[in-house]
Amino acid sequence: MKRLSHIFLVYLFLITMLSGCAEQLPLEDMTMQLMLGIDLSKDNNLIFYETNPVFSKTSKKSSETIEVKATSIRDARNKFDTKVKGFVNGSKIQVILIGKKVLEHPDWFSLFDTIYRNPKFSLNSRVIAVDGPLSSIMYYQSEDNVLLPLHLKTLIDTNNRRNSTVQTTLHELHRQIYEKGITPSISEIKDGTQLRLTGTSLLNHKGKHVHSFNISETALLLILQKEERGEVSFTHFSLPINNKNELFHQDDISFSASNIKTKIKSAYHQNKFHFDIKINMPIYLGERMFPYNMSKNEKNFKKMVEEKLTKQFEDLIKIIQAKKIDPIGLGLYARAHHYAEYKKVEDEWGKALATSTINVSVKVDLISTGNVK
Amino acid sequence: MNTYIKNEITLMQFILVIHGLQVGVGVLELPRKLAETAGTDGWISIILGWILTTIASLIIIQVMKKNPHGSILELVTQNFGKLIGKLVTILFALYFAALSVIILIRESLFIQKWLLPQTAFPVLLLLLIIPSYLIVQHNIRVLARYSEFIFYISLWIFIVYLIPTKEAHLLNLLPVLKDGMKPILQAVHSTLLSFIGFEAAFFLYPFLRQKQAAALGIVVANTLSMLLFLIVTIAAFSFFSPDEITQFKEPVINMFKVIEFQFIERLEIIFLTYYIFVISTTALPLLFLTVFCTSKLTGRQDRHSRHLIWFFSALFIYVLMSSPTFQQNSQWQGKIANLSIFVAYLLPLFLWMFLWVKHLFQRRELH
Amino acid sequence: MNFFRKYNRTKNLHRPPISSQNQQKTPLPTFISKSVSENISMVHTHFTLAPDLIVKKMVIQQTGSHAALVYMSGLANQMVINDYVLTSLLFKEETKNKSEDLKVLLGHQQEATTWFEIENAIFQGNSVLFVENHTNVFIFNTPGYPQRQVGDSQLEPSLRGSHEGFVETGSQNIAMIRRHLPNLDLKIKEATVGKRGKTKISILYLADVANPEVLQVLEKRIQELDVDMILNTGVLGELIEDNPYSPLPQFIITERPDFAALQISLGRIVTVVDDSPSVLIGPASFTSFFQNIDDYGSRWMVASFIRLLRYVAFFIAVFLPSIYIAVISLHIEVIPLKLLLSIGESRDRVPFPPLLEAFFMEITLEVLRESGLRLPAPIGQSIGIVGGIVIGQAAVEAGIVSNIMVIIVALTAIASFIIPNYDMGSALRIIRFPMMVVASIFGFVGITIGFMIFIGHFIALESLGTPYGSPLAPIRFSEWKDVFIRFPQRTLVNRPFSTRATQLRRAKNNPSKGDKH
Repeated sequence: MKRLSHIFLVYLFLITMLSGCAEQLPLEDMTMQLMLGIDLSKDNNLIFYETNPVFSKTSKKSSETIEVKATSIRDARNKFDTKVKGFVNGSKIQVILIGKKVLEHPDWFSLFDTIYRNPKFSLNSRVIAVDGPLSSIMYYQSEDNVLLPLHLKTLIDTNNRRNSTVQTTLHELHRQIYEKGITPSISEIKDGTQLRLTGTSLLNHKGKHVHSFNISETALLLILQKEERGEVSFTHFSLPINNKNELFHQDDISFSASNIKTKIKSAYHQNKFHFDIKINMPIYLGERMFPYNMSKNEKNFKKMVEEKLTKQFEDLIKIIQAKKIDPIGLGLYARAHHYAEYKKVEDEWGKALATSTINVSVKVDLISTGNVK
Repeated sequence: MNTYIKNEITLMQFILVIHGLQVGVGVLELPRKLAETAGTDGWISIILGWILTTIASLIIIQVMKKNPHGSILELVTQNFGKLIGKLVTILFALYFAALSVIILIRESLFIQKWLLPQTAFPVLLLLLIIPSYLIVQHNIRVLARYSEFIFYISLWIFIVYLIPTKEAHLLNLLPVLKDGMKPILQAVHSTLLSFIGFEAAFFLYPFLRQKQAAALGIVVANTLSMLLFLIVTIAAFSFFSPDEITQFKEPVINMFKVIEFQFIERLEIIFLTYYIFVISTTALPLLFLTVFCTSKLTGRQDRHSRHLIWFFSALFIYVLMSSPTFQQNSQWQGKIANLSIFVAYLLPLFLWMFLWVKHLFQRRELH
Repeated sequence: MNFFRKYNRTKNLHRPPISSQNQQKTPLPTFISKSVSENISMVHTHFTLAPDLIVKKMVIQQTGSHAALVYMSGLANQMVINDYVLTSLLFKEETKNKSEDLKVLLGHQQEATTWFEIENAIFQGNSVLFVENHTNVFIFNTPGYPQRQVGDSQLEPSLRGSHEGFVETGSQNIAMIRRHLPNLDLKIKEATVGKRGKTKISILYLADVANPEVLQVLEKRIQELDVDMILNTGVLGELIEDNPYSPLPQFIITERPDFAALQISLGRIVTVVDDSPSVLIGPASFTSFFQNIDDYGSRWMVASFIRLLRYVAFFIAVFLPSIYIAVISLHIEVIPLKLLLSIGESRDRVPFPPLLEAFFMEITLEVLRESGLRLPAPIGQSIGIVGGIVIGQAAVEAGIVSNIMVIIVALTAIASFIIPNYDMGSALRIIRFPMMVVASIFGFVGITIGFMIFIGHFIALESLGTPYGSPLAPIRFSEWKDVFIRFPQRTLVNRPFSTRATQLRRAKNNPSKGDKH
């Protein structure tokens, strides 16, 4: 009996083996999508692009790009399959590009449903908005034959490290879309004479593009989000000193700040939310284009910097309030500390934030002024 | 009973078998279930559930102390007669069989959904059956060693649960007690279900070598599981926004989807594959208990591996004929949930009261 | 609970004992006769076609009686016979002492009365003296069969350990162990196994340390053996192991007397097989196969590092090819893109699926290894170079395998050679193949299931009734001082639980409570 059962087990195992073979799909039979693009054509049809690497040594190109007209990502995949040799596989998508034309229309996020539904997709793909037509970027060929998806991914990642743009992955986008206390912000690139990063696209709750921040504004946004990494560098920072020169900006300084401490306090009275944002910024002076007696007037210098920074933050917040969005995520603070009041307005949080008062105060510590006086 | 002494297990093995039984497939969905009813306060329900479980498990130990050399089956037979003893044995066998079927099928469903979507379902089940048979055919001691070993080699999972917290938003957890106690109490039901498995102490107690430490052991086991549930839940609550967490069926797996290292990406695949080991420490003892009961019924303790073959054959044939789905499985789970609550939380209480009253009467008779 | 063993054993038990004697011959009488000539003719009728048998008739000077000396010319040392036996018998003057015993210049001298003993004695290289009017014979210990010099161990070379390895003579091997353990408690039990081979098997153990239950199991299994001959230690090991269907070795086989002595002192039992240059050590646990005598000779940090390396190598040897196959055929998403791109490039020209590619390389490698082993040492080396470099390179250039696969296979091979025990290393190489097959079909799930089967097997396995997995399963943290990391010598005061020694503390008379699981 026992022996029989073992023979039976081995037999079953062999059957299992033979019937399990359906799954195998070796690397070389696959068309690995590395980049996915979604754009609208002039007559408002959705166009999908994908880029996949070409391994063959005989081919000159390192990647190939395909475009199809389709209604959804899933539909597009079926159409891609008819154009490439291998099975299209989306598990290695590095970046997803969305044309600004798509972002103009709210509710585009429903296109992404399959990505979250299908376990094969990665949730770490970077989501990037593209200013201008997508085709020029998708077919962009750099001279040294670098894989564009990899290039874009590292572009976003290193610029995020330098606080020039946000790093919004699919996972983060999902959070920002569903979380009522925050609105999405994604990186933005542009193809002019050369492919370059322009900053951050701000979307409203429905996903509609409402505004774009440039690189220096993005840095301020990241500070407010407490998402800044390492050093934040401020350049072309003109101080109110009457030292104008036609050619050279002789009122400019540059500095970097690290270990920035942002404290956000919330309050609720008189039927509106109050946010008090305190930023403590240790700075390292990197460049001063004008003579200044630092040892005597250090206080004054700090004050000038603080005022200018406060002004910048305030301008930024004004834009946010005017556009009725909340990329900072102040809603999270409101929810955590004033739950009952927040619950009433959470579906219209952008509007509630627009009417609330937000105070910013910046305190600067001058840590170092460099090697010269 | 001779079989109990010959197959003694240590206190640590006792603890880890119970802990292994408690931690299984349910953990993957626990944060979502809690969030659905109690929002981000769900973690409080876990602590409440733990308190209830500890009380229930201490009662189990008290009951078992009355008859330290036999399992609940002998206890019932002694107190209520042979017929009821047989009946209870059949009921327990059915109960454990149902639990193990649900878990094996759910495990295969998970594997099919996340890892091998194109493989036929019976094949996946067969894949799980083969090692299960090879391990459960031995005695309880081998099984206890297995649970112990798997626990220790799975300790890294505790650490891995902490990795996503670097992207956590602790603000999500505030405010505490946002909607009052009512939703929290409602969520206790699902936490009690996560703790199911400690009722195995009814059967493990006679095998335990250090019987005086049984109460300590079962409390430690519950606490270990509670800590794990707490870590997982808090990690998931701070990782996902409270508005999105209910969107994901298995938030724990989604949490790992985001983690990547320089040398490895998509940790959820590694995690879920490895989790087969963790689930096996739930399924294997249940399978053992099933055939333990049935072999008690036929009176031949050494023949439990034969029963196992029959059990697996039946399961396999069932799966060949019908194709189980998640919905169906969840329905089954819902049906057995109340039975589980009865077996684990109410039965010990009844038994304890009965024995106490009986003891009282016997005393009176003596005087 | 070992089902395989059960029927294996019962088969042996119920087989009717086969008579060792040829039916056509007249059976040898039990006792010898008084007449020397009768005895000599008896010898001649039984040792037919044995030209190396020498029968020397003579008259003993000491007693004046007729006698005959019988020995095998190849097995006995003729110099010793001439100088010490014949000289004293033939030329020594008659003494007043008319007693029965003869004076011979030899220390080792026995008497025997049965033909069975005589036959054994002659075959062991002794010389047998028949004396007129005596119903007993004198056996002189004059062995002189060819013997090998004690040399370095071939299979287990070591840096710090002693440079002597076991030889083919059991008594010498025992002597080498005794030199390490001059202790009254070192007991030796002897048994002769094999109807034709009559191999002498000695069981060595420390009487106050080794577990009597384990000893009993071992003795019983050896006594129950019913075979023609025990060719060497490996044969014995396979005959008495708990589960012959397991890929894992259940006894340590070593060529090193120092290692054997160490294991005896830890409470294990050593079985010496005469005519075999290695000994069998049991009960073995899985982790004991990863220990090496050099671990104790070098400083503990270095030793620990090397030991950890071995465990890493274990995982590489078993899992690396299967993980690679699983990744590129099912789970490409787990590897980072840059690595994936380079794998994709190298696999582009390969026409075979990954499993076939891996099998091709693995089998080539195993063939190379085996052919290198069978060839004389100088040629063997060049085979390794030809195979490793030339075939690998050519296969990649021809586009039959990808270069990453060559790296993987080479790594796996190196990893399996770092395991200090040859049997364990070979076992791991075997386990690799089914792993590769399941990995190619079910990916990581297949590997997990394979590993689960392995764990289940390894936990349930026993060696001489002792848990094989100890101290990992059942877990014994106190014993981990000498498992993954070797702690400093002065902290290693206890014997391992996995030997089930009756004295837990080394060097002290301190009985433990015994190891219950």
